[in-house]
Amino acid sequence: MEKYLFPYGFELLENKRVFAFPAVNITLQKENAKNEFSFLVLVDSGAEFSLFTKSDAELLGINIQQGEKVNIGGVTGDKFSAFIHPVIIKIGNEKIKIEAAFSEQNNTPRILGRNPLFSHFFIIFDHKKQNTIFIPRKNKHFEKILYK
Amino acid sequence: MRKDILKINFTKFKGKEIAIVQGKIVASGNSSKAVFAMAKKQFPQLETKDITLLSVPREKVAIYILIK
Repeated sequence: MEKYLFPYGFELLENKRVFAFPAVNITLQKENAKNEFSFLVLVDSGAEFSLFTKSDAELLGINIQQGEKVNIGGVTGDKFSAFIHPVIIKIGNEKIKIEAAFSEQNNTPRILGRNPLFSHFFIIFDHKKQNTIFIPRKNKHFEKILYK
Repeated sequence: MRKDILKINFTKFKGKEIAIVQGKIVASGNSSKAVFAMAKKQFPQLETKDITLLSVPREKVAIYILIK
């Protein structure tokens, strides 16, 4: 069965305590651009869409102000604006065109949200073994196992 | 604790952008563009996709929603 297994991407060490994060390695590319850039992003089922930074847009050659403006809020009360742009995201061998938000700031987290990626993959968090597993939705065999 | 996982000193890199090459932190700063440029200068032979950028969280939890 086709699947992409990502060991948890990194651990934060603080005062001898360890926090593991379900981050996955993806590449991002502006449409029709040559260069792909690699990011370690947090998979966040609580986020509606994928979020990148202002500087990421500059790196990709995207003029951030030309996108549709949206307002974003976090649970801690912070608010900021972002701009929606089409980009090509690569996860494993799967290349998908998505609409991603680029924050007008650089100090916002980089996250992989639900829309539309969670419709392209079944995503399993195996916290015990500290792996995130992406199974392409086109894999009908896995869907049959889930819903039989 | 896994041995093969990237370990980051949270106190040192909290809120920073870092560049990773072959599992090691090679540059850090406040923007991905600047950090990528620092890493590329050290490893000019690498393709852009071989330098991985990570935004180290400021907090250990963050959830973001659209404001309607």
